[in-house]
Amino acid sequence: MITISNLKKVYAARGMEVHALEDVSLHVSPGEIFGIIGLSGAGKSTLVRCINLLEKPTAGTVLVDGEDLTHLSQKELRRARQKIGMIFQQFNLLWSRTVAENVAFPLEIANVPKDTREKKVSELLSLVGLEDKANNYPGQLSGGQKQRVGIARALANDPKVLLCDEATSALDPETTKSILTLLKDINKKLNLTIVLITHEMHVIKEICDSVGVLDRGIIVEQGSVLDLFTNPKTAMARNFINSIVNTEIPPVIKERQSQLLHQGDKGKVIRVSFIGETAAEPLISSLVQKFGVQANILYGNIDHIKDTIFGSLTLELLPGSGGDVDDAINYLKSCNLQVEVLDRNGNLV
Amino acid sequence: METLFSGEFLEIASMLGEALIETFYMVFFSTAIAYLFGLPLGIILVITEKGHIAENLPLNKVLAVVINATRSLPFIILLVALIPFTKLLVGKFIGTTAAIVPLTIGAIPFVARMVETSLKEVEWGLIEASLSMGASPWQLIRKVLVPEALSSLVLGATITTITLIGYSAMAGFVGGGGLGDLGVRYGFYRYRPDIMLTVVVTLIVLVQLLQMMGDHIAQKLNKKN
Repeated sequence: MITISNLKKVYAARGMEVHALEDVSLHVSPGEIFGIIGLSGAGKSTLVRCINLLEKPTAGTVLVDGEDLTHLSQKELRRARQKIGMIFQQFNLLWSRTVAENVAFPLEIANVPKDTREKKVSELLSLVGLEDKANNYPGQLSGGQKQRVGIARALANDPKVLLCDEATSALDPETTKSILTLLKDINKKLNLTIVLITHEMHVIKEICDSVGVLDRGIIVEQGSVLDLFTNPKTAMARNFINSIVNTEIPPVIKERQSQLLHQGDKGKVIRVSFIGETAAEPLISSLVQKFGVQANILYGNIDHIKDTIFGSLTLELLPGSGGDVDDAINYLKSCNLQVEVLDRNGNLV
Repeated sequence: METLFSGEFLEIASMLGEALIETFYMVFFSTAIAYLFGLPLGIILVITEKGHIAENLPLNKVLAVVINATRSLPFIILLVALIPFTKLLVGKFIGTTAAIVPLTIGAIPFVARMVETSLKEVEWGLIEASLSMGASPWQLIRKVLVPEALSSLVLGATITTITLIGYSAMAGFVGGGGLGDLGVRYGFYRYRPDIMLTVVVTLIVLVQLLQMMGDHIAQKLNKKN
């Protein structure tokens, strides 16, 4: 639905060149929710604004639904923009218009006749659950309600794509959740392609199908969200994941582990990572039964992305009565689990 | 004594009534015409700025220089300097109607700056959101910039009107009449403190009422808070 190729954006600021986007290429499939995550200053806002050309790219092309936006005339671009909805961190509702008039605004821009407009507005307000606020002004609404109006407004001209610029960053966690749920519903109901930018990993985990990690103007990693969580390739991605899933072993556990290994028995500390199916199997009891080892859980976490369970367990394996720790480890590996042996400091051996 | 008092009272009342009508006439028309030109000028000043919807820096600079130049002139000098132009436009340069011309010309750059300040209060996010929906520059001005700035524009118009009441006092110089002229000619030159006092009190009440009205309307129009 969206193909960005070799996108570059250079600003001239006080005689200096600022490279906001170095060389960005992305592909967003129809009907998916694509997340772009990055720290502040990574170029996220610039990137999302390049998709509807609110920012004019210095070089590169932006294809939306097969149309190259960078080669359109002003008039053609305005028409194309009517099919690309956008919502904002600060909502950007018109203060002088009621909720209903705000939602009607893009329809007025598109010269939709009044009676069609009214019908569409009431449909949209019921979609976002704000029928009773139609005649209120934005100044009388809460942040979450404002963003709902923003979403209704963005959907007015039946767009093919919805761009979300930090749409939940100004909201509290509870409201964020409800807005994300709404976006997910809309995505399913209308088969709408959504591109969202955020600095919060939980937003990505909550609703995105695919993700791109943006670091100083470059997409350093992109793929499915599950791949990113279970197999991050860059330090940037790992940092984002650690912000919500703690894969690092806490110091208290490390200390204990160090003592255990110090006592000189033949035990080993391992970290087992698992995704999907294998998480459901009775691993630890198998270890004990088949190999006669003792397994001691030191630390672990289990999480899920959509319907896929993933996580990691840090185990201390002791030979017990005649068991072989290495056999046990090989068994785990044969179950398609990722097994890492850790030293006393919790580092990989 | 009583008849003399009432005679004097009637005299002042009738002079005051006439002057009030002249002031209203001059201020109303000069404000209205000044907005007819000043509003578009103010809009152009804003939208031709760097990064705005119709960026045009040369035009922006030229307009700014012309506006500043006009605003540098003391009104009394503008009044005299514009005599030939006034004559060309209304056929005479003396009288209440003739006074409207310099008042308007003097007010246009003032209005343009007031409008500019009001429009700049509209958050950029609203403009960006409208552009993202495919709004044309004209739709943006008509449906976003002006309506969103309306409350502030009304406050600006109130200030403009009050300023023009002040300027109109100088219209006496070209036989424009009005409250200021009454105060100067009778109150000052003919030493009639009673007339001076009446004029001053009338002006104070007038300005208070205007400001109250302006504040009230602006408050009604402001839906932000």
